[in-house]
Amino acid sequence: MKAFLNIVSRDLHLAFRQKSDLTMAVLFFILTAMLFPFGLGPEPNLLARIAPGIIWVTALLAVLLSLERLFLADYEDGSLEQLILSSTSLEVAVLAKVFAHWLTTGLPLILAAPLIALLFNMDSDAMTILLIAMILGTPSLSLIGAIAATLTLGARRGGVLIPLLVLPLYIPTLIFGVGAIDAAMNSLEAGAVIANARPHLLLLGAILLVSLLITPLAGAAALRQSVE
Amino acid sequence: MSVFHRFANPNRFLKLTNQVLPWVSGLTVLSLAAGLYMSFFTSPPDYQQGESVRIMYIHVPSAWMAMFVYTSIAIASVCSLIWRHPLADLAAKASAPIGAGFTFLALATGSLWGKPMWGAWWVWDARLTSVLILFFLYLGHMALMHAFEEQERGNKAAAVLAIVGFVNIPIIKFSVDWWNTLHQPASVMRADGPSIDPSMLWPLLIMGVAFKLFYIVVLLIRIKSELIEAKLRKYRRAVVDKAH
Amino acid sequence: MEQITNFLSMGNYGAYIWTAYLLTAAVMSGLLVTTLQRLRKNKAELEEFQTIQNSTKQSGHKEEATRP
Repeated sequence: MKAFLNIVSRDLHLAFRQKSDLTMAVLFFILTAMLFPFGLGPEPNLLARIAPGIIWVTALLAVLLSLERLFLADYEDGSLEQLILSSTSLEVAVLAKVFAHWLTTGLPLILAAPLIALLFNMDSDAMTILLIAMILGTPSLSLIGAIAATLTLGARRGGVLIPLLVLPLYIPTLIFGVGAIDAAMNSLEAGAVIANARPHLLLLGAILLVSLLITPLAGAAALRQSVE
Repeated sequence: MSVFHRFANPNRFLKLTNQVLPWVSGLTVLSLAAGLYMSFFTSPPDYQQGESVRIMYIHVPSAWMAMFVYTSIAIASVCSLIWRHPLADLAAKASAPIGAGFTFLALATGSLWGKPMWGAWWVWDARLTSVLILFFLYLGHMALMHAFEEQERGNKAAAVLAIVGFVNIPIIKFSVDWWNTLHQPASVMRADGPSIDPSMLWPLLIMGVAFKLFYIVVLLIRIKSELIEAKLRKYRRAVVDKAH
Repeated sequence: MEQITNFLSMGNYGAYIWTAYLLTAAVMSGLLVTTLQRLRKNKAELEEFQTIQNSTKQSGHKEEATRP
């Protein structure tokens, strides 16, 4: 546990020193989402209908952009090798790195999402579900993305490879994330919002649990391969 | 385990392959000929879809192969990572282009079948969409395998990816089905009924067997080729060492 | 003749059906041909290496034999 916190705080320190990394994902998220009204027209009903999809897709792309740097610095300066030789379990270290990544990209995206939801005319019920869905979904994006980030360490054109490896695996999260908000928006009675979105949210939670299980195993295996 | 190790020896594997290959090739040609004959001459046109149903006899076996080969790659990857079986990496590497080829065929023939049936080259039907995602899994696997200077690292990374992808396939399949029932397009017609007449089932099954045999033939030749390439690498290294 | 054109038209689905079958034939034979080509190339190169190795071995033996 102490090793976990050590890695998290170290990564957070590094992230705060390099503020550009911290703001890039959020900035990308907001700017890209803002382009859609210009492409599709300002009609409020249309924007409200497509908002869940746009928010999720742009959030997904923003996470994608940040993945390459997740392990690359550690790989290049040799601290990854130290980590593997140290007594800390590598699985725990992977989880710590992913948690720090989520704190610096996933969490800012969640905080920025209501702003975009407002710009897209989303009602407050849908916005609540959006936040719950993102809290459950964005950690999965970091976890699944970490697998691709570890697998491509030392690869030629690693940055181009990551989207190809990750996007097929992101599709379930995207489907249930958007589905939860759609279900909330389509419910006619006020009380039915949570009930309608519930199955989607549970499935998002299930994906999170599966990723929590797979990522440490696959990530640790890939890290060991990368320094062999 | 002993079965594994019996085939682990490359020379023994080569000997066995050379013995088996003519027979499997012959069977492939026979079953392919029989399947093609049946699918064009003995099977009736569908009462709803007319003659276009004949595309099914290559589309459905291709889709089966897409899944079957990915499963084989995942199993080979487990053998490679856990038991470090020397032939498992070669089998996974040799399988990937074949599987990608069949996945492409499943998509292309599905599209060619869909145009007269659905009136569009592509609809986001649950099955077609799942196969499209599978195609990207194949592409990622192949790209990762060839992305490293050292072949060994590429093999191992691709093995991890194949296993992760395989675990995700049921999740992806389920999510796409779920998504598709939520957004069901109005004009989609079911591509095949729940029950299928024996006069159509037989050509389908025989074509399925023929495709599987074809996979085995190409796979064995590719592994053989990879084994020779491993020897070549050794020779080349020896030459380089001598020069220094 | 009419039978053949009837068969080829496949109830007006001919274009789709034949394209699908030809595409399948192209991909499958393409896989087979590239695989065989690579095998042939590798085999030839291996033979080359082996003949070089054999000849160097033989010349080595001769040298030893002629040494007094």
